[in-house]
Amino acid sequence: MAPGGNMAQRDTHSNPGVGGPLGGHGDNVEHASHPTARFYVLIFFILLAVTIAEVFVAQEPFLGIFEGIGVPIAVPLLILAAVKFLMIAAFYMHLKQDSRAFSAFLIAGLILAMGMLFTFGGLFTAHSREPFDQIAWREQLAQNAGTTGTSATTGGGGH
Amino acid sequence: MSTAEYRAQEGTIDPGRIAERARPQIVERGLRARPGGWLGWITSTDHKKIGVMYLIATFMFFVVGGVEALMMRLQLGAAQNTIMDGQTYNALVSLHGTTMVFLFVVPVLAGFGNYLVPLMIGARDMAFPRLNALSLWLFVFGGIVFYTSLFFTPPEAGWTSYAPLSDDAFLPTGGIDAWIFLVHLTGLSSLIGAINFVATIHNMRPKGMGFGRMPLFVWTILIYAYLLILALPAIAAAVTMLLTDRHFGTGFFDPTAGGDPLLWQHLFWFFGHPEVYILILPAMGIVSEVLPVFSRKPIFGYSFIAYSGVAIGFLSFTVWAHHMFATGLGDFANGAFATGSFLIGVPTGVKIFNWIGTMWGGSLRFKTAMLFAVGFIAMFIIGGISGVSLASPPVDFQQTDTYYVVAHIHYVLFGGAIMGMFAGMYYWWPKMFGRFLDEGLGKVHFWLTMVGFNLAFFPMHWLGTEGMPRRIYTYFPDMGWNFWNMMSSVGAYILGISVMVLVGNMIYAYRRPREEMPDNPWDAATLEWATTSPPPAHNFDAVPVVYSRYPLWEDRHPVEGGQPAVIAAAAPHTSIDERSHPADTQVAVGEGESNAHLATVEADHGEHEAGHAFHLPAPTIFPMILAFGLLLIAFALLFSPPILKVTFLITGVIYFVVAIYGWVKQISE
Amino acid sequence: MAVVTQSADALTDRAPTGLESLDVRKLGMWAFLGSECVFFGSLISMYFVNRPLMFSPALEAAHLTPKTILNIPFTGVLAFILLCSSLTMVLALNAMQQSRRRAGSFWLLATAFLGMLFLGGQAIEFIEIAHEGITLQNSVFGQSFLLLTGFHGTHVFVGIIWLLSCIPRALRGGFHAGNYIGPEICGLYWHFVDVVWVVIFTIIYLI
Repeated sequence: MAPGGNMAQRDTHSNPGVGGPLGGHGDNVEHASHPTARFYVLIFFILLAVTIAEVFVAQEPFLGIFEGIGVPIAVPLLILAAVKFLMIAAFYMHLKQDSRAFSAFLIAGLILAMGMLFTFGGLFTAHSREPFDQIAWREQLAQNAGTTGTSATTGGGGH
Repeated sequence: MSTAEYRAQEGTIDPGRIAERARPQIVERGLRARPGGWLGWITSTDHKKIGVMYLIATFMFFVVGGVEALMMRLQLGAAQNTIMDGQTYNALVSLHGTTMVFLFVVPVLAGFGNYLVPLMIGARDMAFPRLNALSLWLFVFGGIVFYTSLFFTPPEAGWTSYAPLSDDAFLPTGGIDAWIFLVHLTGLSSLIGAINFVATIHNMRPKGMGFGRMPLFVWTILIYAYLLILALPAIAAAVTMLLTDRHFGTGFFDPTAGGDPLLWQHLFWFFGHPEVYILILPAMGIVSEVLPVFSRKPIFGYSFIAYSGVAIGFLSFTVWAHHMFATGLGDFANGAFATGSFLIGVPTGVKIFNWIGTMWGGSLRFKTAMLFAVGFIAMFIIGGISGVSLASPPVDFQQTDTYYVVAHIHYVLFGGAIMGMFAGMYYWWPKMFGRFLDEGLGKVHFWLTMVGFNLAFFPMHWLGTEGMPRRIYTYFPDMGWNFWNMMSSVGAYILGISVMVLVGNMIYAYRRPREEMPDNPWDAATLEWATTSPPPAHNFDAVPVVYSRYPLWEDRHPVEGGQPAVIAAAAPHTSIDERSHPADTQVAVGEGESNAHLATVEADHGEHEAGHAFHLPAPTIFPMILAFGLLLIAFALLFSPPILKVTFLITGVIYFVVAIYGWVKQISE
Repeated sequence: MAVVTQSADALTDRAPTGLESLDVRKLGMWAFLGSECVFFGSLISMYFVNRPLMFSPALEAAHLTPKTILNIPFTGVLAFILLCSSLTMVLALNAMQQSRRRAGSFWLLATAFLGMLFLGGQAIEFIEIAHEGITLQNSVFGQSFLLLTGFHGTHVFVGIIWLLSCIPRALRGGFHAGNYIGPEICGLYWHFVDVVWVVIFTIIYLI
């Protein structure tokens, strides 16, 4: 049985075989020093302040102000969300001091997710969707449910 | 001719070189009894055994999928044939497509990757051996869920299961649910496998093997893994929505409930187009390994081949809607996606020219593996050109849903991916099983494949341009499609015979008395040929140090510039002369000084465990039990009698929980 | 004789070979999180694509738009709870990095508790929405909202199980300055779930 305690964080060792010319890795040695609890609490209060700001920005006085100067309310809200996102990723998930390879995964996923969001947004505004009267549909559903006692939209599931 | 003989002939034999050093001399001793027989296989965490199990399972699915194709061609061979009705035909179309994509090509490449990646990068195993076993069993049970649908109603909506056809209003039977669970389980399997490949390739390469020295097959497996990680969740989300549409009354894809079928197509192809590069890239990697060996030349334009693969990977996420030109995306979107699709032809072309450049001026040895690699290039060019024509929206409007598309995908996936896979099979068979596949039978197999394949699929280009729609189960005799459909069916049966020749070849190789297999029968350059054939459980005695792209050819192709400077910087205290000779590693553990060589090697990694030379993961049954639990849970959703549902659900959850518990306990022991 | 051993220890499987410098489990977790980004990206794209259908004068009149159904102050509190759980999670990790066994276990437990609080809040929210007459079956908003937040809730649930499964070992002192990779990976997952809520909170509730 292997010494189980020998799990000393491999990434805290500076591995002599890696730095320098061995290709692509660059700075992937984690700093041995960890942020302090005080630092984490500080970040928490900033995040909290941003969250409160978000809730207020979405409510009436600010809503009107932003509309007044012609800025869609989504813009400040998305900026605040991005700030929170980046702070959590950088400090709580330690991306700031960890290997850039880890950030690469998150960034790749984010780029694809945002690319998908924007492309779908564009494509679906361009193609004409069947007009859909949700109120009439709901009434129809309620009627069906009243007469048959079961939901009309669910078919017979499995075999 | 073995490496040593070759080198003796060349007069450049160098006893200190890697091949001799990495060759295992150590007999496994001091082991806890490993379970033998079939139990040893199903509990295995050895990447080689898992790789072989992948290959066996996928080959079975390949044969099943092939038989389905032959049944379809039997029906289509003549006009207004009545061998089967439309419903059966639809089921066969769906089974064939799904089997070949999800149960054959993706996992067979995972199988090759599993077996070869750790060997090629000089590692002892994959990064997560138990998760590796889990991906195998998830894939196998995903296939089983799918094929249980044969006992009630097979899926009938094609491999793409376009909504709303796949919705409960049109196909209320369980086949589509089986398809959904297949996608979920094999998707999970591929995701875990891909994470495993990424961790292995990023972290477990030997000293000296920077990205610029990785074998090209490892490069392509890395890209394959990245693409799987980033593309699979899109289809996971889509099939989950389809599942809730079918069972929980939502209407994401149902226009009568406010949904939009196009959402399905977008999500499906957002996964589906990277998927086709997932299918082809590792096959390109295999060809990039085979060609230099049988041309007796290093690969031409290594960096171009490697980075064009990366470029293909990036671009593959920008082209998905070219499957949907005919849905009316608008001119701007059509133009944008067409541009991306044309662009992706550029890195593909770069690869093809590099392969031709590799052969150019080489001293070609036309072994079967080489024949298939060359066949791959030729067939893939045809498939690529028809692909470029389909990337043009005006052409695509004509060809959408015709046999032209069928011809295209079979040229890239059979002529491409499967030919590449055959090349890899003939090339690595001696390494995997210590026996050659017979060359004579192999050549028969190759030529039958070429003739049958082209006869089966080339006429489909003409049928498509003449307007024959795909997925129809019969046609009128006066459409002018009779002759070429007949020829296509004949070709398909020739292909069937060629696969039988291959099976015969495997059986022949298996029954032949075992010969002494040299480590490196083809005189290849990469690390997997430095160990024995087949390799021992721990792969290498000493982890080799790599000085160039061609570790086993260093005597003939010295490192450019003549200075292996990289190593000197990387491992100051492990010069090649100080490294232990294999014979020296047979020292008793704890014998102090005599173990110093090993200690030197291990100490470099900051993790020296006194007393143990190699750690191999212990066998475990829990991955299989976990996957089995998920299979039962899928069954619970598949069968409608409440008693069956409840039984399956409860037992499934129990298996799942027990497996997780046992697994965690085993790790923390 | 040199001995080939087998062991079930999680670490020794990965016999170090050379270039190794990152922790493979962390690398694997990040790869998985990259994948999760695209998964939630797909669900959010679905919500985004359906969003135009959630607003119309008729729906407005029937009080069936997200604006009238969703209770922003209440979900603001939920966002606060999840944010707190992220803090307790890093504090747990921080304590373990300093081998403070009791503090580490306490903060882990606190994280799991806050997670449960969040799930409870989400359950209340779902019930309230059902009372408004919005279900999976009868509303474009309902199905999009419930699938997206439901999947987030599922992730929270998995995270809670994971946290709880770490606690026995934490209490035994199994995590310390030399070994805290388990809670670290669990923490990555937990923070990711929090980050997803940051996005969902903005896109669904606020905009």
